[in-house]
Amino acid sequence: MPDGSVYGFLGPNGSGKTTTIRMLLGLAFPTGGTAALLGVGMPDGATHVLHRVGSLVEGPAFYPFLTGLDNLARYDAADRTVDPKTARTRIDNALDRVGLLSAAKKRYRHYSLGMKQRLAIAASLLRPRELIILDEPTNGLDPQGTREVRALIRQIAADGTTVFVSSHLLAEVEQICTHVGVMRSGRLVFQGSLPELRRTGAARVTVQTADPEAAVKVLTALGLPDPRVSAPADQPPAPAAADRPPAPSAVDEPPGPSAADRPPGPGLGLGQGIAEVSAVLGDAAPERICAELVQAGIGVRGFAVTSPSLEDLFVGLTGEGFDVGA
Amino acid sequence: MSVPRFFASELRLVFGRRRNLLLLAVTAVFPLVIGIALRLAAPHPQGGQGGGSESGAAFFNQLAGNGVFLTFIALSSLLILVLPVVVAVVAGDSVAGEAGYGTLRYLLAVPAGRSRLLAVKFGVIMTFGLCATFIVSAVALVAGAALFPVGPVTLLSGTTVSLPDGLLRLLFVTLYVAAAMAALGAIGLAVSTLTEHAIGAIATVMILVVASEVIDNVPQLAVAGPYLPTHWWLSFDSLLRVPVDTSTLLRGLLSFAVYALIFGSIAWARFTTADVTS
Repeated sequence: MPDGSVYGFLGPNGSGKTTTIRMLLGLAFPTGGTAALLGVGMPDGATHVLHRVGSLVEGPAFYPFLTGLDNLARYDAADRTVDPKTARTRIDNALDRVGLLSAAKKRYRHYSLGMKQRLAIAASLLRPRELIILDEPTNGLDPQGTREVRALIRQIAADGTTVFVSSHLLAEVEQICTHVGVMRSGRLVFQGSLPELRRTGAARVTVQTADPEAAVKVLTALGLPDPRVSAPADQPPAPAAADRPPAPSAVDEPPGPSAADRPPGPGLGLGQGIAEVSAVLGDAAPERICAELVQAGIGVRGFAVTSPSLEDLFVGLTGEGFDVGA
Repeated sequence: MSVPRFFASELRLVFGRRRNLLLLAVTAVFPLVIGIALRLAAPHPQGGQGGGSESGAAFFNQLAGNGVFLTFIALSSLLILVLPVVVAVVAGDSVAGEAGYGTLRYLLAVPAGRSRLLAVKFGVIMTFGLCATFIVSAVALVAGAALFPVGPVTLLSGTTVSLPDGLLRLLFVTLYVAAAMAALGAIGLAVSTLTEHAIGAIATVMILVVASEVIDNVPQLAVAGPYLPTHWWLSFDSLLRVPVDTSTLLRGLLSFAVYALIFGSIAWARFTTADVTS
């Protein structure tokens, strides 16, 4: 991952994100292969490289009977490479950055979940770091807490620290990450920048029309793969479209009388009987598709070229539902 | 430079916990209670209350003549259960408790260093055991002086030594018991690296102690006696003879050293190779 980037480490539950992080931090030992952190082999290099790395692994962990301040002081005392004289200043700075300075003398037991999470981030900020690893930092947080943590991550990245965030929350990754890696069943199935990930998804051409069968025919004739029919999101699915088996068989069907009889242009009510037909765009020119549709006498209510959502890409990479981890 | 800071921080943590302070308070109360009970029950020289062991019984007979003997009575009584419990709690909790709270992974990610963390933990356990042992001796000495006459000490061998000589012997006795507790602490540390449930580790150490004491008291198993971890604990009475029974004493210390070495190695081997998944 490039310096200064915010790297989103994605994968379904159980795909090996946390295990990877554990191995990177020298907490777990790989049964095969090697792990390197900032170019230093782990776990042998643990004591040389780990102070350059701050981390939050699998949720915050502190002694409940100690105050936030004492808990941080304890972790700081375990670090042999810091100057004890600056400990108090550094701890206060870290608490200040996460907005916990006023709760410093409160026992950890009395912290809210969001405060606990922020204290854990403060622990990773006790000294300047080159890399911060955050394992599901917004897990279990309410929207406010999530926003706080997200703002913190942006701020840390703005200071030039590389941030590695593992998550299964795509919206979050989309908002804060510049690069992503996707895990599936313990393997990295994609790694690159967010635009690169987007490019892996095939763009689709979408046509809104009252005559889906005819439109599918035209799209198929143009050689566009994987034509599908569905109702647009803003109206209940048309029965013809909803009950339709997957697209290829729809093509074999003779055009239904309802579609053939209906005049293409006029008589189209607002949203009435409109279905959405889509197919993979490939190399075809969208203008030509549009022209062909019109030439075939199909009423085109809407025409768009859309890229798949991050969720579609994610599911495409990691498998659907019960496939996950199979 | 940084080890003392980490050590001090861990020491503060252990000595600042209410549970541990309560344990130390209990070890302080016992000698007091024993002293008062003996004072009430045996105002005259023949106050044999039937101590737990031979040496215990010998101490009881001496107590009426000299309050210093309350320290030996207290140590030998508390060595049966109370002191081992105190050490077992702190040792059993040392790594397992850290794993249970999840703080272990953060300490290792700091990085504290696995061997260094273990060394600091063992240092804290030894300090705590030493502290508990000295509390017993100190409280018993003060209570003994308050409740009984104090003067030149008549040892178990019948020789009488001066009070300073007697107190010096008491210091060595206390250190000997602290060494025994350090060996137990190493066992506790090893057990503690095997689990993330502190209570399980503490219970395991106590079961080991009781099992060892029971086996040690079965005459048919006498052959195993000298190899048991608890066998030499009460041998500090060797220090209360003239001449001092050095061979027994050294065998005891050797036993503690071997136990500390073996279980320290087990703890190290386990802790430096185990995945921390809690």
